[in-house]
Amino acid sequence: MMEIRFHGRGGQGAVTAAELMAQAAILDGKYAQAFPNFGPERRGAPVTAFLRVSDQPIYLREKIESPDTVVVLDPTLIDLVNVADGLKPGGMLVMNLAASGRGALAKYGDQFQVAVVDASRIAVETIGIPVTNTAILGSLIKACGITSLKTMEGPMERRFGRLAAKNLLALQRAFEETEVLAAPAAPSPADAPVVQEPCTYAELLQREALLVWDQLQIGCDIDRPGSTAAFHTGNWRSAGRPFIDRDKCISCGFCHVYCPDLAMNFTDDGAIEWDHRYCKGCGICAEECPKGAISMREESHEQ
Amino acid sequence: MEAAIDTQKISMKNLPAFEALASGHRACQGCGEVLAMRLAMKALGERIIVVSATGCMEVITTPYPQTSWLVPWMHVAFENASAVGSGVAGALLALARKGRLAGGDTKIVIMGGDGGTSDIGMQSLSGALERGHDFVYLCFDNEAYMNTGIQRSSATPRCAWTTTCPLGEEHPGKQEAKKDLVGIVEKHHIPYLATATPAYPFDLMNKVRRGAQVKGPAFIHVLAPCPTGWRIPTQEVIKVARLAVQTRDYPLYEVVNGKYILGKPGKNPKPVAEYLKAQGRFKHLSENDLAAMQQEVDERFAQLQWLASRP
Repeated sequence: MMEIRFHGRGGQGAVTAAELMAQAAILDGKYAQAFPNFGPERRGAPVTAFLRVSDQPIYLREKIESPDTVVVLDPTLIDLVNVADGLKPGGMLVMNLAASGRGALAKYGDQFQVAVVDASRIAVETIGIPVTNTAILGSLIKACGITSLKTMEGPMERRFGRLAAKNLLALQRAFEETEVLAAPAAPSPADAPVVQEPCTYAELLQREALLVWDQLQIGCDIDRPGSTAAFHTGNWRSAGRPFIDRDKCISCGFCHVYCPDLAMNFTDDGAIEWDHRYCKGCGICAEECPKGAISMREESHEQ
Repeated sequence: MEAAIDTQKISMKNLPAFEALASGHRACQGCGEVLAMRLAMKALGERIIVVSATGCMEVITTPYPQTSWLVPWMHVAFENASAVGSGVAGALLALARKGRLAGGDTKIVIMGGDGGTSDIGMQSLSGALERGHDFVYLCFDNEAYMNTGIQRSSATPRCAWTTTCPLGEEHPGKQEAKKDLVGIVEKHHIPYLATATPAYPFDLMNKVRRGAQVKGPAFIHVLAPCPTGWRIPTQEVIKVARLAVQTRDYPLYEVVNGKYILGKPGKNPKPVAEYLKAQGRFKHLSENDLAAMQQEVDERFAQLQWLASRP
């Protein structure tokens, strides 16, 4: 049995990717199951989905703790979550990374096999939007087999209708452009999977992970009001951030009133200040600014 | 005794600085519901106890062991938020009678989504309204079960797509009409009832504040646009909610002691198609469907005008 975990952001289609692959494996005569992690996961937030494929019926119904393969749809997740958590030594990491981002692989190279592809660029060039869930499946097929490009056609056509052709092209191109890096030396059996260390309460607050059952307090009391403030949702932004044109801004406060994340606030002297720690990049402020003083631009844009 | 709720009318000039929520909550990008909740809490101020039914707002504000809340807040099941709220209101009365509650008045705020209000929490809400406890009920209606992945609720409008009313050939989208929750609540003859949306933030805040000032139950129904479930770009959330009002699909009004007060209706309403076509969940609608929807909206609005014209 092969167990695969997908890392993406809510809305990027990680769950769809797992489902499409499961449908293709079933068409190949195998047994498969695909399901999302159940939890408070939202558009833009880091999410996981799971896929099991086997030649035998699968009776397991729990989420995958130690996968054989991990698929990463969004390169910004590498700094955010431990994508290799529980990955078996010598397991496969399928990563969406631009050529310029390969430096991030150094920490994985000697423990795992790595397949890398610039799926974001392929998706933009074929589908027109940076949604990488179909492209990354091409890489997964190149790296691990499981099914064939041909078998993927049926499930993709059913799922995407007239958009299937573009998505199949993304799949094909990712298959061709995926680079499988040299496998590490055979791991010794003593190598344990990477497990997260226990952490302090302050560290816990900054994580997405919830407590496990034996750490819960009776009644689930929380005696730290406003403690989510330690969790910075700013890293959910994936499509730019607001920039305020100080010449146009009249500090009217509408961006402050309309911000769902309290990321546009008045300073003591009455000016509007953007809070990079919490802004999720929804763009409401730019849309609603009565003076057109706010524009959404790439993070690297110089003001 | 010090009153719980400030009586001043809210405008941009005297916007309360108070926030009941901290940042770092896990709402989707561009969430209209958490925005509506934030504004409502701003209007209510810190002398409140919040009882919340299960739903998006519970899940995103309290990923245990963290919480965004800066006021006393309690999560209970889908079906019993109003019952628990009634209990808290009763407990406050008992403590005050025994002289064990110092520091003035406290308002009970009960909140739920459309699922927690018009589906699962309906009977406990009805009971609490009938018994007449002193509370404000905030219903944040995003027109489906968004938290669990966009399943239809009784508040989902006719024709809308959800994952449990998909676009079949025979039955494209939901076939049934949206439950008239506000109408049902109105028949309980409570002192204050209003509809609001975060696209009109000061209207929303002032209605919440007026509701909180009355003695007895007040009910605020808030149309809370959901970019994830309505299939709209995150930056257009406010625009779409505004279109709901401008097209008269979601008229803003109050019912004060049985008297309907219609918000300024605007002389030239936009066609409802503008509101519907802005959303992916309605993109399958044909011209015939749109005409039928327009007729439905016109009839509902005419009925509302008739109600508002009664002395």
